[in-house]
Amino acid sequence: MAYLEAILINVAIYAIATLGLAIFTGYTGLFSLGHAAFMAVGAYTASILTYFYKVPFFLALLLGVILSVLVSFVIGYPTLRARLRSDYFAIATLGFGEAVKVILENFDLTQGARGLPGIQKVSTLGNTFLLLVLAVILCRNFLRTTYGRKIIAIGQDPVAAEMIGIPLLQNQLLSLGISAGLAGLAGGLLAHYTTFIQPSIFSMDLSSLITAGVVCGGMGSLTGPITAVALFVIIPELFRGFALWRLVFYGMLLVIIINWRPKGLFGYEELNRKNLPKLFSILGITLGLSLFMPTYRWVIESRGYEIFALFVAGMTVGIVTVVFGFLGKGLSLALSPVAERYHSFRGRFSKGLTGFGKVDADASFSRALRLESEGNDTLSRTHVNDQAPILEVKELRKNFGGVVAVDGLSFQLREGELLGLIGPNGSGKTTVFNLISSVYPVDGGTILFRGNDITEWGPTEVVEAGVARTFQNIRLFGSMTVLENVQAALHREGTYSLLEGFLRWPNSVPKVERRLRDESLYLLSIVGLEKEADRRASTLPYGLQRKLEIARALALRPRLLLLDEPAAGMNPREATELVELIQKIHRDKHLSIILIEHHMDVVMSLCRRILVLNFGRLIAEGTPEQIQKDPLVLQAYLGEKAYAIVR
Amino acid sequence: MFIQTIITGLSIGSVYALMAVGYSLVFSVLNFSNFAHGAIITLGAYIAWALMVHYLQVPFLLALLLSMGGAGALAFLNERIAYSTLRRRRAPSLYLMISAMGVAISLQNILYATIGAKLYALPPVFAMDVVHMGELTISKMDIFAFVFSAFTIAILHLILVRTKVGVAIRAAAHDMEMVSVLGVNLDVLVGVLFFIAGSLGGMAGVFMGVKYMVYPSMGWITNKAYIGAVIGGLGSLPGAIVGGLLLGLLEALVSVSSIGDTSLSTYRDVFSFGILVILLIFKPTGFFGRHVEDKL
Amino acid sequence: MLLSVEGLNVFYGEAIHALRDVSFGVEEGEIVSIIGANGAGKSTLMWTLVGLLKPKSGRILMRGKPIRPIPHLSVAAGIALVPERRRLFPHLTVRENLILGAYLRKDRKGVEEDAELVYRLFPILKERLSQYAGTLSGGQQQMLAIGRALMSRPKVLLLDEPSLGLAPVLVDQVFKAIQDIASSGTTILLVEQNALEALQIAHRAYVLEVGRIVLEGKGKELLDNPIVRAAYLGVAQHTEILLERTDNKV
Repeated sequence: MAYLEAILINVAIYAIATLGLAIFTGYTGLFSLGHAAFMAVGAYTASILTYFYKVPFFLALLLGVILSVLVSFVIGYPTLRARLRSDYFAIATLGFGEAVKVILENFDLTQGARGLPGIQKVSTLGNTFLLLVLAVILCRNFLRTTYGRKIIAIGQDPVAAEMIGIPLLQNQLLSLGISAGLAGLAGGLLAHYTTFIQPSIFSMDLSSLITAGVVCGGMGSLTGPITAVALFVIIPELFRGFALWRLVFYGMLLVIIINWRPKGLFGYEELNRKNLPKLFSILGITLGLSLFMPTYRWVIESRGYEIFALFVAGMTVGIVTVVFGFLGKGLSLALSPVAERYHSFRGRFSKGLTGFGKVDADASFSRALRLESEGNDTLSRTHVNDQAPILEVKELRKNFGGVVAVDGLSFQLREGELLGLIGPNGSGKTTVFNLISSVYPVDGGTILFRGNDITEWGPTEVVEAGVARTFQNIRLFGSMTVLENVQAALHREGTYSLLEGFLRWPNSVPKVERRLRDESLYLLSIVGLEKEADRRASTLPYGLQRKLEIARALALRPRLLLLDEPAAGMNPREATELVELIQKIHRDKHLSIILIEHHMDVVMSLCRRILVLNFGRLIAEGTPEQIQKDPLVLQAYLGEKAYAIVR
Repeated sequence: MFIQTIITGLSIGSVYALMAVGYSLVFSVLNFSNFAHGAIITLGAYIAWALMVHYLQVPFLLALLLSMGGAGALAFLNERIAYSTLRRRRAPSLYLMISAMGVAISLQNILYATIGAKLYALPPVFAMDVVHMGELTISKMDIFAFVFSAFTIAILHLILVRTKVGVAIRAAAHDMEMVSVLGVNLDVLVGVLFFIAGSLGGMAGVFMGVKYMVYPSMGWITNKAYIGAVIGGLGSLPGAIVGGLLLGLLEALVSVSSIGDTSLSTYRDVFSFGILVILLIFKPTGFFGRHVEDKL
Repeated sequence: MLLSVEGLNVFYGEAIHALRDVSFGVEEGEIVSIIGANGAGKSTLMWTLVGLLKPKSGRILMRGKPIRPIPHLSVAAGIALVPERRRLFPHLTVRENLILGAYLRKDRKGVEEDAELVYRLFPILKERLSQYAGTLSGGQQQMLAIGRALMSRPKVLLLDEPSLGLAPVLVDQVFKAIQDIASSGTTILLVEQNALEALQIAHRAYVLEVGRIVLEGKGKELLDNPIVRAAYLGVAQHTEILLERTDNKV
């Protein structure tokens, strides 16, 4: 019994550490090789406090967690600040792991390589599992808040995340902090269970174990990694005598999983009814295999025929595997009425009380529409002066290497105007958008938006100021649902605090989340995507992906919308629908829009004024009729020779 | 004393550089951190040990060459087994990094499980021999390591500049897809790349083995090479050389310094990590790094 | 048929169907143009022809023999691509860029002859041999990209938007060079946004629309096609009138 308890406590502790890595690497896509070092920080802090200073256990744990978080900021800030490739961060964590080990080995307080013996044994089955469950609930809550969605979005596409106004550094640090905190907690618990710690415990092997847990369990899942690491702790107990090969096996498993099943155990999903058979099959196979040798020996001893023994042992493996397979399916089926009842209860509960289940779509639309019209009143009041420029670009300049992409471009956009920006491929149109939205630094000139000089502003500040854009090569958060893509862009409207988010505070979070959901559904309904809300964005056809990008941009409440070839790749019918959509949002949302487009009929039917760019210079400006007659434009489009003939 | 330290630093730095060049070469083309490089280096040292001590008494130079070949072949196999699928699928670099970690963990622990954690010495080729120059005493091995590393890197440079494969490797560092469109068989090219990186690693492993010992976790020294590569600018070969040498030098200087009574030599690893963090704050792309802009 | 394509279907990811049942052929010595709007799948087609994108179904045949969709096999079969935006190696010299173009060839003499051919076509390249490709001007870079592709002595030269970002004078130069290359016996498949130029030099042409070939015909015929005029020949109706005048003068 004590043996079983020991295994379970180990499972709980490693599960907490793995959960920590899962919420970081699994969602941000950054790779940490130093999580054992965060565990060490938590373990040593807590142990020194309880051992030398007789601080109460839980307080000591908490202080260990806090120190781990602070330390993670110290290494995270310099490495993540410069927005370098994730390799830099990985190498920095590697160095950090070594540094922590050396410090622990040489520090008086930590008693060097001898370690700290005789720590109180206060981690029990009860408190470790309680903390694990608590950690899972908090992390799950967190991921379902605006804070969590920001981190998931960054992991999917940092550039797109920044373009919807999500600052990278602070959110990556937030995720790292939570992660390091959990690692520190696991470390503290481990120290107060094993009662003895030394620097070599927190080695690469430990980091390897939890990394294997996260990858095999599935990056993008919380319960997957926990399940995987539990298996990794339990399975070696079944295969005694192979202890040395354990890590060899983990390493190989990492290679195999990432190459041929990168989604891991549960993919982006959590442990649910559907996944139960999978879990049971794995359990069945391992248990079956672990019975192979004992059965074989037992048969040999009693009968002695080798072939017969092999056969019986093989059969045992098969039978156990099959039995577990059936058990899994059976349990999954048996649970289905329970799950349904739970869902229906939750549905009723959510309707009656605060709730967060499926919403009544019509009611929410009308509510959102009402909000919308209220918003419009205030907007239209600020909308008085139609002639004031909302955007003013002066002498804008950008070089790439020796090539001049934008060459002294100046133009103005009046409030509420729908301006067309055309020109041959390679004439610098998209670069102009990239300069306005601060993807690239400007080489010369100024950009004024609503009177503010935004030339030097960062991408997120530009979004904050009211500029939203879409991309020529669609950049959605592919593995998020259609709804989540829009919700992610509504991040500024999640008005609850981080703490409330963690606790899913009943007074604020569900209410705000429901509003965000309604609002997202409303925005999707504008572009006609409300029926696709639960689909994964990457599974949408081309035309709908473009519309989703528009809905996501609208969620940023822009004053100025930059549309980069929204009709590219659309057939004529889709393009006509798009024209109507753009007209609708232009009218209803009182937006100023700049439209880059190659479909001339689209531009001509939407814009009263068109700018023509060639070689980064403005070569013509005017109404569609004027543009069509302009000799320079014709020359740019038709080529010199053809134009010479025409003239 | 000071010059003595400089020479020690350059010698260890040249070995760091050797490791860093192999690692950077792979990084420049495939754009991921090959954390299995350390394991390949370790295996290179074990090959030399097997050849010179355990099974045969092969002479040092031959053993060195065979270790290079063996490590190169292992690196080649490593790519075929653990990376090629991901590479062809254009998987994110995180996946390649994880796969590399898996290989590193497996290889190191295979050594533990088979040969064991014991430390083995390579025969004292001329490790004990020293040259006296005035007040200086320089180990012949240090000189040999420095000269041979420099020589090898020079050959590598010639390969990269003069041969068609070398030019293709440099081109692939900029645009691998386009290189394949010109008719280069990427599987072959990447195979050559890993063989070169592996052989450089094998050589470094043998030098480390002679200088210190041969043991399963000796690959952790490669962390220094990674840091060196970052200091020089990830993916840049001159950067890797300069970064490796610089790190070796600085470490040697720190090792002989002290604050008050405490010698700093034990904190050498903390120091190199400190350099890394400081560098990332002030010059994130290293001395020779290119700033890669994400194209929209 | 020198190069023929049968029922090509190409997908991006799970949901984006970029090429739908594309079939066409290029005869020996022809200049064939493919025109279409941005996002119609022109570049996708080019990348598929050189084996970088794997079609879900369909075949690419060279003189009736199917080519496996692997880049170096496509080059070996005689296809060379001048990609959109040139994709030179800026940190390599002009000479090194050209050397890479002839990567698969073992006949040293033939390679030298072809180099001379390239220099004759673009004399400026010979003057810049040891200069880094990244320091060339836009027009010179386009010439180098074409030269690099010619170094493999291809049977079919694929050109993806060679006029992109070039000043009109240079566009004319490039199109002149393309005609020269064609007249020396290399077959040409040209993808262009600049439909007028592309149709004028083409023997035959195809119109690609949202991944499908919707029209085909002689180059000059398509110039007269009202649908083509409305959709691809620059600035809508007014152009049409101008074009009628063009035709009268041509």
